[in-house]
Amino acid sequence: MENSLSVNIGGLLLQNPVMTASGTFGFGREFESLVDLNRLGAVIVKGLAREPSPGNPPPRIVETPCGLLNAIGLENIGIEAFIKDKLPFLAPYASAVIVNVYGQTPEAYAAVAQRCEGADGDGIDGLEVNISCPNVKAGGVSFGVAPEAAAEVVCAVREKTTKPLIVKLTPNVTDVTGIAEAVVAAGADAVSLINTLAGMAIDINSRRPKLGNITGGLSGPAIKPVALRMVWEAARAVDVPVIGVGGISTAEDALEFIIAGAAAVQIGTANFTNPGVTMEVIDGIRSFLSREAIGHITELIGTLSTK
Amino acid sequence: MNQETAEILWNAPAGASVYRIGLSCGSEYARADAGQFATLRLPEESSPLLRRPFSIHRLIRNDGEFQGIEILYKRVGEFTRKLSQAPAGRRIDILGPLGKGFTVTASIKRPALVAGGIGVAPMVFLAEKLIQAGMASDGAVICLGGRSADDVLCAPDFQAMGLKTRITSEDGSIGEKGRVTEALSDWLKDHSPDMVYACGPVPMLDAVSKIAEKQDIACEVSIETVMACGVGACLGCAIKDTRHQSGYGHVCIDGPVFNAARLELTDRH
Ligand SMILES: Cc1cc2nc3c(=O)[nH]c(=O)nc-3n(C[C@H](O)[C@H](O)[C@H](O)COP(=O)(O)OP(=O)(O)OC[C@H]3O[C@@H](n4cnc5c(N)ncnc54)[C@H](O)[C@@H]3O)c2cc1C
Ligand SMILES: Cc1cc2nc3c(=O)[nH]c(=O)nc-3n(C[C@H](O)[C@H](O)[C@H](O)COP(=O)(O)O)c2cc1C
Ligand code: FES
Repeated sequence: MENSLSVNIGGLLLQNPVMTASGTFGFGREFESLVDLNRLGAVIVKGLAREPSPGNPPPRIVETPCGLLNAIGLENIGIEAFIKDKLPFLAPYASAVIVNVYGQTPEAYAAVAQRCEGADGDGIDGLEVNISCPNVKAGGVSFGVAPEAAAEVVCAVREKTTKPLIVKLTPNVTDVTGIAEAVVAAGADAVSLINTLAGMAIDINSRRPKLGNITGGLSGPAIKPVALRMVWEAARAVDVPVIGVGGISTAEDALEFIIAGAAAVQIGTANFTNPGVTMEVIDGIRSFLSREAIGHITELIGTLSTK
Repeated sequence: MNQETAEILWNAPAGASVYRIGLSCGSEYARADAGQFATLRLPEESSPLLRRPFSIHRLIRNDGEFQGIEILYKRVGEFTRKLSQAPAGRRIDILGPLGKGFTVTASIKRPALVAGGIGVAPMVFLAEKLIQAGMASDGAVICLGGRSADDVLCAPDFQAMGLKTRITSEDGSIGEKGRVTEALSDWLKDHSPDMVYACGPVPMLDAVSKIAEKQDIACEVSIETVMACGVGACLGCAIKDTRHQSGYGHVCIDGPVFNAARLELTDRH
């Protein structure tokens, strides 16, 4: 797998640093005829919980300037159905498979991680823990906004998994570095950020919210500057690999994140606009490296000059 | 399903705020079903962000050879405004064919087609498919309705195919004054269709499906929701679907055409 684009994300070896962000690429099969599933760094599948759940009432999406507000509400088929029905298709491809995990209690998160350890979970190369979910015990506040609650989830998952563990951070906090430090201390092998920014939109004629859930999460080009700033902050705060996510739709966007300190990137909303975007970004990064005579992508990571 | 760059063959007004656009896309569309759709994006435009879904209106053939597809669209917002300004020869990004279309079998002999406004877009293709499958064209009726004459589209196309047409407008500026559902009810007084197919605004679909249900006639409706991906990945196009395990179906892959009996349309308007 040694090539100029290969990266090591906390023990997870990827053929290139380009992954698909959770919730924007289904289980890979949806894009089978649109991208070469052998060429991605990793596919991060739609968030999975211990039990299936139906998700939020529609409308679930609304477009806003340069962005997308979504309130899917973590509609999910459950880890069991994923391992039985979806993983056998995805596992044989050269792209790594990462399971995005969520739950309402630390135990629920841990149960998903444990299920992935079974022999039939061999095709799962790593876990990404989404700590933006409401913490049932703490009255529905997200686990990801308090260092202690975030660490509690990560500890619970760490105990049950031998796989590389990525923790996905929410941007809806005042200081992301505190959360990043807490999850790394609790055993995270890498952090990814950002998840969507909390937002809303209103129909002035009906004076009703445009989303069935009233509020939703903002993604797409509109959030890129915020994501970039947070990735830069997190990369300086922790010494595990940081994965940049948020508004990436070109190789130039991805390179900005890498220069800011990201060891890899995830592409989300751009898969909707241009399903072939991941292939274009991989090719674009490769040509940038050769144009700049950079031998290996790792030589570029965190090379931001602020002088 | 595939993503490709098609050439705009023509793009011309077809009524008030309505246009027909011809696209030179690949032969995968030659096997498309009526009711399937494609999503479009103008490659030079960064706004709007999301691709926009449009039904296949007609296949374009020249001497029997497949050339592409035609889409019938209404200018309602940013994307359709920009699309209406795109000249022939320009390139457009098209993803399709997507979704599940209308059921067409040789056993359907006397269906009723019901279209409200721009909802007529997939109905021309449907009528062609039914005729190809062996339906005698004068066995079928199409009820076309709209607010005014401007919203009643494609009547000559159906007449040329030999379908019976019933036209209504809410302001009486064309056809009978009234709603398209009244035309359907009227037709049912002395006909018994073997299928009702409908496309249009949700309140209309709700009314049509109730009429069909009362008479015990199978009914298929084509539903519109906002879509982000169009391929089943984002789960954004959810609709209450009583037969779906989770309680929600997804319009882009389970539809856009659904058996009306399984949907709960009432709470959507
Ligand atoms: C499966 C499917 C097939 C369709 N087929 C056709 C077709 O053949 N011809 C055609 O003209 N249109 C069709 N539509 C509707 C079309 O996708 C929308 O009109 C288009 O997305 C509007 O984009 P815009 O940027 O011009 O308008 P926007 O600025 O996005 O919206 C303008 C107005 O249109 C409404 N609108 C936006 N999207 C939709 C939608 N999906 N359905 C209903 N209202 C909407 C908005 O609420 C707003 O009031 C179809 C939609 C679906 C889901
Ligand atoms: C429709 C949709 C569904 C998403 N579902 C999930 C999810 O299940 N789990 C998760 O951790 N993030 C989810 N996300 C967040 C994305 O993975 C990503 O962090 C975010 O969209 C920012 O990246 P982008 O701007 O490239 O889309 C979702 C985003 C969107 C738009
Ligand atoms: S539009 Fe994405 S799942 Fe239907």
